[in-house]
Amino acid sequence: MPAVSLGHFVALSIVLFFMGAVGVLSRKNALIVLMSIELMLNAANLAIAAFARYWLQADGQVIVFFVIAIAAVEAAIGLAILVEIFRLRRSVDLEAMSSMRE
Amino acid sequence: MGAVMFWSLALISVAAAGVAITRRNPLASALALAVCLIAVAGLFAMLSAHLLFILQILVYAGAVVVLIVFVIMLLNLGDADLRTMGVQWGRFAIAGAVCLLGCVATLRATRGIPGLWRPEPPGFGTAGAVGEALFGRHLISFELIGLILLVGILGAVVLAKKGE
Repeated sequence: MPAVSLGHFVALSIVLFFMGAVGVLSRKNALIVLMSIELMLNAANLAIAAFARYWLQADGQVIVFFVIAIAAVEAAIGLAILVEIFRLRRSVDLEAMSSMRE
Repeated sequence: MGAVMFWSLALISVAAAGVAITRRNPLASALALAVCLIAVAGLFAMLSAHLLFILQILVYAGAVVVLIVFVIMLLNLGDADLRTMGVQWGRFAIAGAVCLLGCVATLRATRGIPGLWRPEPPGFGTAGAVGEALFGRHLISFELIGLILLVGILGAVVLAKKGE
């Protein structure tokens, strides 16, 4: 049995999630923004796994399994798009990717 | 013993996340991200999610971080490229303040969560127990994940092909 309460795990996952959100909102480097998104997904996984242990349901762990699979696909596609953008613009600066805004 | 483990893993993961979002060099960020993911894998082990512990290390800290590091090496950004992409502290402070508000609000909202764990049934969180749920109730979702992985592979191949 875990020595600390469910609330501890949930609080930690909230803190990690918002740290990832700060990275997504404030960084200009697209690579670091992608990593911050991974951080947020991971924090959500921690909360789901904690609740799965609390309710003793294996379904929660299945959901975490799905999120890990989706995160891997997201990283692969995101990085492929990033490499393609870098080929066109020689930069991964998000400020340089504003052609849709103009 | 368990409490010490939780607090040290929590400290490591939060510190590594803090390092990951404030480095100018993406390689340093990627390594800090790996440390954070491994610490969370330890927390999964504390929650007796044995299969998730292995998957987190293999897929997340292994495959995903290696993919990110590989792309960083491929792009080979020099100091001149990275100079404009450090942390903009003004923007960082605004985002941090907004997220701190959200964080405190969420923490307050979840304060009443009860913390009494029930003893787990034998085999909880092992590959057998998760696999039973995965290939039973969640079979269609599992097949759809396979489809998404296929689409992802096709998408990555199409994107990686030299444009005409």
